[in-house]
Amino acid sequence: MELRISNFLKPDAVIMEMHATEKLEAIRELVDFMVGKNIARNREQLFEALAKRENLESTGIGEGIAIPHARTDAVDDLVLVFARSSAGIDFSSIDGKPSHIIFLIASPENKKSEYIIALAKLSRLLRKLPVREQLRNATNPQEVINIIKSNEE
Amino acid sequence: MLSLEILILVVSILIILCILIFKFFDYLGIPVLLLFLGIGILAGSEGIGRIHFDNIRQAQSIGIIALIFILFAGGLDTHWQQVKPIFKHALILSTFGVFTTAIFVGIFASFILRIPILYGLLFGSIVSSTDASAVFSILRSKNVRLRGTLAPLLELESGSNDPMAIFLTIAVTQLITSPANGLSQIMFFFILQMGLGAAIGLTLGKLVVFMLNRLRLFYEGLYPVFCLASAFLIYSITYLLNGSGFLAVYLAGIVIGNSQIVKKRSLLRFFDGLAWLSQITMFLTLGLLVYPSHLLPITGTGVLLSIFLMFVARPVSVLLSLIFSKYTLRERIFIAWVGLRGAVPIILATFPLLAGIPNSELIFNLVFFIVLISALFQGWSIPIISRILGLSEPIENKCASPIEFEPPPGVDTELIELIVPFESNVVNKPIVEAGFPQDCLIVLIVRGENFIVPSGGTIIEPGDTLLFLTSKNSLKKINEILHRWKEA
Repeated sequence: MELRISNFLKPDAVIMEMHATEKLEAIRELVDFMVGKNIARNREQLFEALAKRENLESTGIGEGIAIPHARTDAVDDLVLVFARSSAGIDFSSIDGKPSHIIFLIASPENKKSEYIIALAKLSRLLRKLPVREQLRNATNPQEVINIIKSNEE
Repeated sequence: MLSLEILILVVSILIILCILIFKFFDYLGIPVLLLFLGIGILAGSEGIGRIHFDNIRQAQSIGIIALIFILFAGGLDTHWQQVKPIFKHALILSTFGVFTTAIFVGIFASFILRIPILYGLLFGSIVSSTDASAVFSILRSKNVRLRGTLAPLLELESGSNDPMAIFLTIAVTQLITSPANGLSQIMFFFILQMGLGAAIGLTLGKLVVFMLNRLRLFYEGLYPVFCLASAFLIYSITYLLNGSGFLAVYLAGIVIGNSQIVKKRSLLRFFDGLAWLSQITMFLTLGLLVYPSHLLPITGTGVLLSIFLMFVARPVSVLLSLIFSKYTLRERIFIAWVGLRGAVPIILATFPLLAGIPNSELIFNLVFFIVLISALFQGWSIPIISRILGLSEPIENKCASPIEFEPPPGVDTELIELIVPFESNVVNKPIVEAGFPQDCLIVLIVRGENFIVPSGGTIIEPGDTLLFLTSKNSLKKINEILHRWKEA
């Protein structure tokens, strides 16, 4: 299935600098942001789904990357949010490093395959060191999207 | 005497030939034993290679060293949890079963060959055990997939019955050379062999585990070397104390393989390679040793003895040994058919030859003949027989796994996607070695845009999204494993 992450990431779903320093605080900030931008509807439902997933397993996958994700009907379509933190947020990654790049993925229950593919493509993409470096150095939301677009296989 | 370089050249060419021929004829399902023996015969003095080799003592030494590796590696690779339920049956097969096989064949051989009963029994003892390397390689090859507990039973039997055959051979040899020995002495010798073998193997196996985990060696490559030397040590100490060295090595392998040890993966790889090298070297050597022209005159009696062993002695022994088991008749027939003879009989046959015992050359050639026939007919037909008897599992169904799964109410199982962290300990490991709980299943790996239906050997890559079918209970354990940091 042809699925482009860049198609699901809108320029107004990018946070260039987060305030939060702690995991659940960061999830809260992301959820508030999404509801504020009309990306998600039900604030509590979304937070609960993401936090539940986060408690199950840390989504910090190392190298300064975290991919909080959940399936919840608090969103209508597959959505991605990109966020950055120069100070880093502790997502309890296995390498102990704080996360600087946070990719949130949420999808309604009926979009399971899209959700899994997006997850797999994203984790694959972020394996590459140049991609991570470019994303950390990007200066504006459009640049973030362009970086992902140009690196998608 | 050949120069060292010529010797190395010849040996390397032969080994590479073996591997290439094995690779190209793998689809024919020829047992490796037969293939390598065949290449040895062809390379030998009466074949096209014209390599002259008749040093029985050297062949025997090579065989013993190779057997130590094969049994140790086989033990390492034996999963105790799998063999535990059938342990009792395997034990009966590998002691009582071997004993009755030796007696039946012995009586028949002395009758057919018109030799004294003791020489018949010597022959019977030599061919009484099934071959670990032959059974392992056939049951683990890709065209055999057995139902239930058959594979672990047959593997455990073949791995553990050589000591019995060795004991019987030594005992009968002693009866021939010094007839003064009484039955009580033989019983004492039996207890000494098996008891010491088991005790030393289990104890030193545990000691090796203890040391491996505490040595903190700086170089990973030293771990397998330490293990290798330990295997030799266990064999030689046990042997020198009059115990069964082979039994000790096999048991030590099982103990080590089923313990939590550092660098287990590289250890298993190392010994897997070593076991292959041992098989090739051993069968090549034994192939070189035999003179096909000496086999021709004994064809008639050889065929008769083979038929008796395959269709009478082994089946009756198996039926008697498993009389109290729950195996079905079909399963028993199959177990009887997997009575593959292999290297151990040939190596054992060199002992009376070196001791200069009368009739030993006849015995050696007959043993060799029987091993060939057994590999040819039993080895080759095992996949077909397992299918005819309805004991093989259907070839894996390659349909795409479901991405959706709705657990019925009350079922504590869910389908969940988990990302493999970049620096996870499971990265670059095959799934089987990742140590995931038994009751979970990876139904799908999503790697970038590809969907991979995994098998146990599928290598996990960083950033893979794994679709787990698992209970909530095991999920915790899975996460713990995924989020364990890679060892330096």
